[in-house]
Amino acid sequence: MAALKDLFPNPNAAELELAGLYAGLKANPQRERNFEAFAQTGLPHTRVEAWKYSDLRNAVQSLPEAGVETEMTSAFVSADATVIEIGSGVPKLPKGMRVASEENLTALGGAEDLPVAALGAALTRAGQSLLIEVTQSPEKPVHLVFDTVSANAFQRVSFVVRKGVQFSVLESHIRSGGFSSIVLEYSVEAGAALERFIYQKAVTSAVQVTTCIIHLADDASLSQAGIGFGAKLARMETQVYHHGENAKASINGAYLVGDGYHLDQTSLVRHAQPHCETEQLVKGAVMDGGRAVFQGKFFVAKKAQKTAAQMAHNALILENGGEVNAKPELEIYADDVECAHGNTVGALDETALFYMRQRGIPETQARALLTRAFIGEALDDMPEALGEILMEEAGAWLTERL
Amino acid sequence: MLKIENLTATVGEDDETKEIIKGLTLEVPAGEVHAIMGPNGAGKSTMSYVLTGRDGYEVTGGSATLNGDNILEMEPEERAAAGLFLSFQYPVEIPGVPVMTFVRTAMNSQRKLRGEEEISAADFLKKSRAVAAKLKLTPEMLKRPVNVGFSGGEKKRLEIFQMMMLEPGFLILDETDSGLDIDALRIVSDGVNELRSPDRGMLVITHYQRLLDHIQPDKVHVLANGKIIATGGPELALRLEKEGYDGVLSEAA
Ligand SMILES: Nc1ncnc2c1ncn2[C@@H]1O[C@H](COP(=O)(O)OP(=O)(O)O)[C@@H](O)[C@H]1O
Ligand SMILES: [Mg+2]
Repeated sequence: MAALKDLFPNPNAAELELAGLYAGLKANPQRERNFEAFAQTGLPHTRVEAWKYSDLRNAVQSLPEAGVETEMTSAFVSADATVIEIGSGVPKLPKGMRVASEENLTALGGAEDLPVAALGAALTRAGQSLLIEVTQSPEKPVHLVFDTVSANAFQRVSFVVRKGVQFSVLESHIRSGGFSSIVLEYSVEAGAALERFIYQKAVTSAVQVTTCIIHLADDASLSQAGIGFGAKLARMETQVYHHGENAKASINGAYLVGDGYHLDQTSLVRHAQPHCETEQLVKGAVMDGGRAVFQGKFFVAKKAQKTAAQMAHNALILENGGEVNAKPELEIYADDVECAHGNTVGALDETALFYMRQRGIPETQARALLTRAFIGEALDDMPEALGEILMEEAGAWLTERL
Repeated sequence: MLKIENLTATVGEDDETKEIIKGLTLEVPAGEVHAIMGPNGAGKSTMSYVLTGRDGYEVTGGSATLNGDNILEMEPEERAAAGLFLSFQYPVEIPGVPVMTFVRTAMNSQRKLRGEEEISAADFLKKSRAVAAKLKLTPEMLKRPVNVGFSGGEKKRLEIFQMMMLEPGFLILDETDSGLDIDALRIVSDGVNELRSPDRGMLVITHYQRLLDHIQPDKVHVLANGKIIATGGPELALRLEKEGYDGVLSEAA
């Protein structure tokens, strides 16, 4: 590896600290490759195309202070699921799952395009990076809880979901401060089905990047949904690879972004084989001082005929001063496909608000009800009990702020 | 009960305001049903919105009281809690909010504003079943989002459903009969008649005698160019049906 000072020609304080953290870890060729992939870009800033709306370099000028213990809890604590805390030793897993490796240091695929995920993978310490094999459908969903308070949290969990297995995961990404890069990988084998439900919440001092890479084999499926509230800067990135034929992915999400928060939801779906389907519905609302970013890209290779892919992003600006940046993209090389994208950004329907008030519903309550219903559409496909948990949280959030 | 005196109001944004209500005077005592008829564009819907407090409709003079209280100072939801209900000429879609959730939220909000207790889930369900049956609305329809994907006639029945559930003190029906077939007209009228009571007042805006055959008014007013230009008994509606508005308009001029 080249000398660190050559890798970072013009490092900021945070990059120097990160290089210091790296230097303190046990050397390993994979770790080195991951770190090098990060170093090529460094902390990305707005001139890096994939980060043009989320200036991470500016948000992390030096590594922040650790968070303080927080009252924040995940809405998923009330779900009937088996909790797995990442980072507190080798977890005890339910029947059908086993830890295949406690220190998964494999190089991250496509790491050059995912500098912050590469950083996360490079800086994981023992016990912070797990490779888990799922050989049978666990009885209950698994609830992954990631680091909440550490000043720097770098964690990685990679799952191999074996053929035909149904695997349901709840992920709680909560941060009370600090800087984190969490990496998730799901390799979903033929005919297997992954359900991934996400809860993200943080304070306005936290900088939080979560990257998830999902590989779908023949006839595999992904059903993803969740809710996010942002952080000083939060980026929730999902990459889906349709490697096999007849794979199906639905990647939905809702967001509510208040004053002082920034939430970036970025996704890339690559269709490499024929007959795959992707549906994406992302709906959210922002308040004054909040900023939401949606970047969605569908890539369809020449070979991927008969791809059916729909993308929609709909946002509400609840108050003047709220900001939404949306970049929906299709890049299609096959000629026999059905692909479309739609994007809307607007305000609440004044006529509907008046109708509700005429029936006796106070304005703030009417606004909360309309907004809740608006974003709720993105959670409609979730199992009812889980969807309700998230909707209740959304309702409470709105009632508190409107 | 409802007393409107020399009301003037404008419509529209800042520099594009237009006076639509031009000195309207009207009184509906408790227990009475008054019909309002008048040519298109006369200001009938505008009057309804002014009374219910819609944004963009600004009162520039006169007064309106309900049971002696100045409603023009109240927020729309406070007017609703005070008993004012408008059946909209064009009912509005509320995507994602099921009818049952909506009506229960409205009922409990009104009760809260009046300092009353919430209705229990069981009582609400019982009441809604009974009312829905009268209006031939199925439970499945009440689970759907408010007015989304409903036909014109279904929307009007849904307005009456809300009215019968909320049991307001004063009703304004803005062309509730338009778009209804004969059966639906009877269902809607029966619902309205069921609410007639000595302590409730109603204003029924319509173009057609056929509604007034079902809901017999105590008085009929003609609203034209922003004011009431003629008032009479039920026979006035019959005359308008026969002659159109021209005769009455020229007499008033
Ligand atoms: N928001 C508005 N801006 C400008 N003019 C309006 C607006 N709403 C209604 N008007 C005008 O006010 C007049 C009365 O309308 P309306 O009250 O709907 O009549 P009616 O219900 O009696 O048919 C019409 O000339 C209409 O064009
Ligand atoms: Mg009208």
